[in-house]
Amino acid sequence: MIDLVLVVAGLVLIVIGVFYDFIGAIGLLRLPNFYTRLHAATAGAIGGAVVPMIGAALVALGAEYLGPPRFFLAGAAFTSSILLMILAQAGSHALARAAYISGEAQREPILYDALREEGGG
Amino acid sequence: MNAREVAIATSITLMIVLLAYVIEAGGLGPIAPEKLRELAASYIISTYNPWNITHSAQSLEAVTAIVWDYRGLDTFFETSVLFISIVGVALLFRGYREKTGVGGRGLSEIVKTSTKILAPLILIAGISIAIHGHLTPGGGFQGGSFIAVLLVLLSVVFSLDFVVERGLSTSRLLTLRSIGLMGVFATSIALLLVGLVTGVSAYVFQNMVREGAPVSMPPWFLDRPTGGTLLFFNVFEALAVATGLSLAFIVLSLRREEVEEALERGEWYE
Repeated sequence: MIDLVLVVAGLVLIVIGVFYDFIGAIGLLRLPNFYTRLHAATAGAIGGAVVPMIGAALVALGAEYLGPPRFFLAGAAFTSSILLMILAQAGSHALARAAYISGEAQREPILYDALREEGGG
Repeated sequence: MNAREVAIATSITLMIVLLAYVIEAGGLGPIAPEKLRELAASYIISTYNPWNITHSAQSLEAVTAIVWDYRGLDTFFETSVLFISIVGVALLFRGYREKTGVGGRGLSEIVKTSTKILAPLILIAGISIAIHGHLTPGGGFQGGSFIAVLLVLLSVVFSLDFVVERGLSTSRLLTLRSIGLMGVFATSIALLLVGLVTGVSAYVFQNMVREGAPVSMPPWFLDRPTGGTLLFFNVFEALAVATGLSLAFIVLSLRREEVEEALERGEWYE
């Protein structure tokens, strides 16, 4: 019973990940400027890679026919998801900050620029 | 969306679906031809054979056994080529001396904190890949590249001063690089020297016991296979690659103050 719950929960997370990947791909193609496209790419990285990796860990834990190696699979997937969660945000933050400070990326359309009020990041 | 984009999207989708179907139906034939399988089987039997160490490299990883045991001389010269290219870089920038306190605050606090969390993990992963080179895919070059990537990451995120102040100046990196290459060389002739001293015959790049050459590297560490020379080769290769690649990176990330100083010193030489 608990195995079934784990597998179903994992599959739900993987489906959520597919949704995020799809949204991220569309956003990367259709959004107007660098920052919004970066936002779409980060949504694809966190929602489309971290979440389904946790789902894969749950599916591996629930799949009893895999035998003892399933704990290695689950542990590796879980650890990778946490590392990716730390790394993806730091990378996109560094990219966005570099683009803002160098002024290379087009800022319009923009509603509110908090960094400019603080005096240029 | 015009007709051209629709046609491109349809053809890409069709190609992926058809390729998946062909692979699924076995249309490309057996993945490995039957002839190759005998060769692969002979390698698998001879890389790890604890019952007959005379015909074994005592390594669970066939690639590492081929690279450092069967064709060790070849790999030794590959390592030397990398070393000579690093020496060429050092020669090209011969007036170079890294300056600290030039500036460079590094990236923002968020990136620094993430790097602080991940830096020990990258170092441990690099060392682990290097010393498990005879057990799992990877080896000295890959582990050394990991450690070099760590140094590049630290010098980008925290600035070059951070790396240099912790003792990894270019001269010390070049010294460590030379120690790594000397270690590889010493490992390759270690058993030959033992054979010469004790008066039995031995080979260059000998790993385990061979017919007529009774000297051997330790085949076991406790209950684990060591791969004999492979372990030492991987460790020294990792040291050499890590220091060599980070030396090249530090020298090539040349800053204006360093160029000016190097040019002044170059005028003294003339």
